[in-house]
Amino acid sequence: MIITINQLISCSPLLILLSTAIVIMLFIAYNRNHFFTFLCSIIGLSFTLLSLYFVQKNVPTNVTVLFHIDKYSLFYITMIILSSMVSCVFAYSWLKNCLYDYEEFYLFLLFSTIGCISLIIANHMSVLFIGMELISLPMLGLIAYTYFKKHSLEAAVKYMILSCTVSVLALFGIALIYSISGSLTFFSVIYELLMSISHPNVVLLCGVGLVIVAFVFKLSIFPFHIWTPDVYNGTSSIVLIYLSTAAKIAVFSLFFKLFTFLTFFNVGFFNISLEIMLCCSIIFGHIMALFQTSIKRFLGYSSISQFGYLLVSVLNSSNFNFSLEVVGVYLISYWLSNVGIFGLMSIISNVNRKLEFDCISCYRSLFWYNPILSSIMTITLFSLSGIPITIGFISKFYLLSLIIKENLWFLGIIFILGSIIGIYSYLKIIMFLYLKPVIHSSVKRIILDTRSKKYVFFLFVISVWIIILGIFPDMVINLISQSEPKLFNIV
Amino acid sequence: MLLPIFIMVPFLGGILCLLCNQYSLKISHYIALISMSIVFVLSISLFFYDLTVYVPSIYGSHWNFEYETPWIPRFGITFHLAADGLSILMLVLTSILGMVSILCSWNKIKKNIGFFYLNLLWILSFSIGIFLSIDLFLFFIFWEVMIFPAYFLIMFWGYKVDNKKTCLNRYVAANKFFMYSQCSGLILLFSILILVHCHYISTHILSFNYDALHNIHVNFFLETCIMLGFFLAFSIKIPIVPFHGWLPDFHTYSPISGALDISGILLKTAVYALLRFNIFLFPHSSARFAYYFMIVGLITIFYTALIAFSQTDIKRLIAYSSISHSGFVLVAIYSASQIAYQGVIIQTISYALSTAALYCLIGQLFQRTHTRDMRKMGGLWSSIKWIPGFSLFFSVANLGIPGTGNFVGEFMILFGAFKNNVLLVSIASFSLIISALYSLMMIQKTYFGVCSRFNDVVIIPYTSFREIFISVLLLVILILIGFYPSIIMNISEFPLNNLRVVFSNFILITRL
Repeated sequence: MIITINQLISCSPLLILLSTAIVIMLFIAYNRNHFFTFLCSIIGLSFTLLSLYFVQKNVPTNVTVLFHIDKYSLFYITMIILSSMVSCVFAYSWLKNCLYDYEEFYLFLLFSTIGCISLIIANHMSVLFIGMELISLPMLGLIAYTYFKKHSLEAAVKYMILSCTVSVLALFGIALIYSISGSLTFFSVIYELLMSISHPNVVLLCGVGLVIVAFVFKLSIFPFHIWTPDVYNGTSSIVLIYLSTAAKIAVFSLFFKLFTFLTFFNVGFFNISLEIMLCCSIIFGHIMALFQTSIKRFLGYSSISQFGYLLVSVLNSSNFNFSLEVVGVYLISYWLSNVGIFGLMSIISNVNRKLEFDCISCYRSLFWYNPILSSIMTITLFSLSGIPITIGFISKFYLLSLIIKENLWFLGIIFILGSIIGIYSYLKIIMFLYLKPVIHSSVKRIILDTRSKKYVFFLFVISVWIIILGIFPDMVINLISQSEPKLFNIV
Repeated sequence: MLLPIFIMVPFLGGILCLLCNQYSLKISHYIALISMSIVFVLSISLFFYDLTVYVPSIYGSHWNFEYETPWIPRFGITFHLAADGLSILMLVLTSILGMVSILCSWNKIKKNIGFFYLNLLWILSFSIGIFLSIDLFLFFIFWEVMIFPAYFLIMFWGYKVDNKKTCLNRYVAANKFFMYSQCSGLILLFSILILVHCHYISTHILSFNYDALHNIHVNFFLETCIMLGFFLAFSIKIPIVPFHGWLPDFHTYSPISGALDISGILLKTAVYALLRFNIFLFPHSSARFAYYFMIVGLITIFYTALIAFSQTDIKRLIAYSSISHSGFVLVAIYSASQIAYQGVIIQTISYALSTAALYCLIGQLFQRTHTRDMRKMGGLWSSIKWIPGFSLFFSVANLGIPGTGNFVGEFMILFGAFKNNVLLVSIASFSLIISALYSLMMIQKTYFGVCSRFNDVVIIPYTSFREIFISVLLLVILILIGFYPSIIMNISEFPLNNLRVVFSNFILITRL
């Protein structure tokens, strides 16, 4: 097997990140220096971002049988690298303030990013499995990083057990697929599915179903969602910036790439089961979110329903292009608002270390103490609930037009019901921000130091972007329709 | 380029108010007033153009003023504003009410004046957007966005009594309003998208343009579904009886000056939308359902008029009476008679003015007596100088006494609708007695009789020039419309006739 220069270049994001990780590891062994590690990981990530420019020139390419890179994957890689950069930057002051072992944090983050990237460009079942594990094992470290906090270990153990179980199931599924198709490239799997469309092969379908379970678990769709609120609850907000965006975006991008086929060729079983799952997760996520008092749990439940909405995009019948746009716009809006809200929470909890800023009542009458923070939070929450002139509305608009285009009337009703419940639950939190302060309140005015002011400025920029993209969504739409891939060159 | 200015002036004016707030407190008032007067002058100036359009063809433009620029080409959405006589009248109404509400809140808002005027001006700006936008997506955006300033107005400047329970109720009322509006918005969005999709399937043109969507042919069932969606969305905002839950609470807890704005403009947007979109886009299924909608209107009229009796809060009473009058509007819209349509416009305008004046007076009364409870008032006639007289006039106008615009409106509605719906209209006309009763009861309880409570409380009898000016202005306009309604009729005749012709063809078909 000969690897050409072109293939090396296409692989360069992975290589750069790997070498960064190695450098950091060596330095940790030699001499621990927080600032240097931070700088090193940021530089590594920025070089990766830079390398995407060169990769872009020779896509689409296959790198051996394992990877397939196209514009579609470049788009999501960019988002993932950005989110890990953001979480690095946010983590820097947090780690400095409250922990003593800080270098490994960046290491975990980088490894997990490598996992995400390899998952996005995977073209082979083995890469799929390895990528998923590479995401979730370092994630375990990140979740348990604040092991002295109350719920941290519980979250980690829960995540570990469930995720391992699902991995084993996925492995079994891959084995079943292998037993029928004799090869593990996605091409052969899809080919095999295509061949057996008239009289489906039960073993193959079982295998695919098990792989779907793995995906759905990572996306926390309805029957496999149980870990989400607990893990969200126990994890610090900085890790959540990463966990809620990068991991889910990576998994979803591959999920979409693979499983649009199943519905496209009308494998009825998958269609129906996906529909049931997404309906349940939309309704269930929103209803459970209503009753939460902890804001992290609330966001966990709301993320369940968010991905429920997004799963609609898999159910297309005629052309992928529209669904691709839907996914792109939706994930961008999801990225922006999640970074916004978790970043904000991390700033606040960073400033007031004594108070655990998790309870919703802690945010009571934030507007009267700090209007900028509260307006950022309002904008991000509005964007999550899909209210006009935010990018979140544009994504909901896209989804609704997809639903109508595909004539999924039942889903349309579920969508409206879910949105109404969702708006109510978000509104409850937003109202808390604007309540008049209680006179004998224990919540003190949040005083920001200069560093957190910089972070606030960053978040402010993000919230401004949420609104700008909501008013002029053409920028994003053009970007995504340009990044439209030769996705399925296999067919 | 004229039309975007109408939206931009109050919008930017609001931002300017917020920015200037830090430097000088008083300046925000003037900025707000000046920006609304600019809108007023400009909208009046529209009358001096030639408003006749000779070719009402299907494909040609039949708007007097138009502005179009691409916005989201991916979906065929354009920033498309257009105005005909109907929109211009609404524009004038909005600007007058805007000025009145700014004058009304002149001294009453003490804290965060800049932010208050930002919200007030944005409500005005967005409602002007609703009256002007012709692209359905743009219309929807304005329809949704208008909620936020109104929401914040209640949250921050709502009815304030130093009482924890009232405070909580205020938030509940604001949330109720928000949720109802969101439901209405979601249903509207869903129906708009279905409509656009149907249009796309038949013509392969993706467009949200009102004129383009008018010509679609879909099967009757689907058209009915879309029409019902639109109707539901609008009737939540008007509001029609089963969906009126938010309005009384909203009025109770909204700020004294803001309520005027909301009742005058926010609710009229829904009437306008019903007239503009529901009938014109779906004449066929509207005609089929017209009779049922008229019955719903009838129920609305009587139900809310009866509820109004049991109110002790003056503001709630007026809120219910305004729901009752929107029932009339609904009856008139679905009667498809030219005279009734003229009546709708006159009724809408003059009713907005008289209610606004009443809210304004209640606000002034509240400033002096610190209560809105009618049980605690009584015998105020001799203690305050001007307010009781004006209140008497406006509440009598409200019940439709000849010589005011309200009378003309109600008369034309009943007269126009009578031809085709004898029984329904005869029943509806009985509601005038009820409305007369509750209006007079309100006056009697508040101003006449024995002064029960205010013997010991010092009432400021002095009425400022500003307050008198507001009342006189509205009074003059109302009487002007009452004696010379052709000013409105001439302008609105052509566009209304356009709408009606489309609709009444189908009405005749279904009747035969």
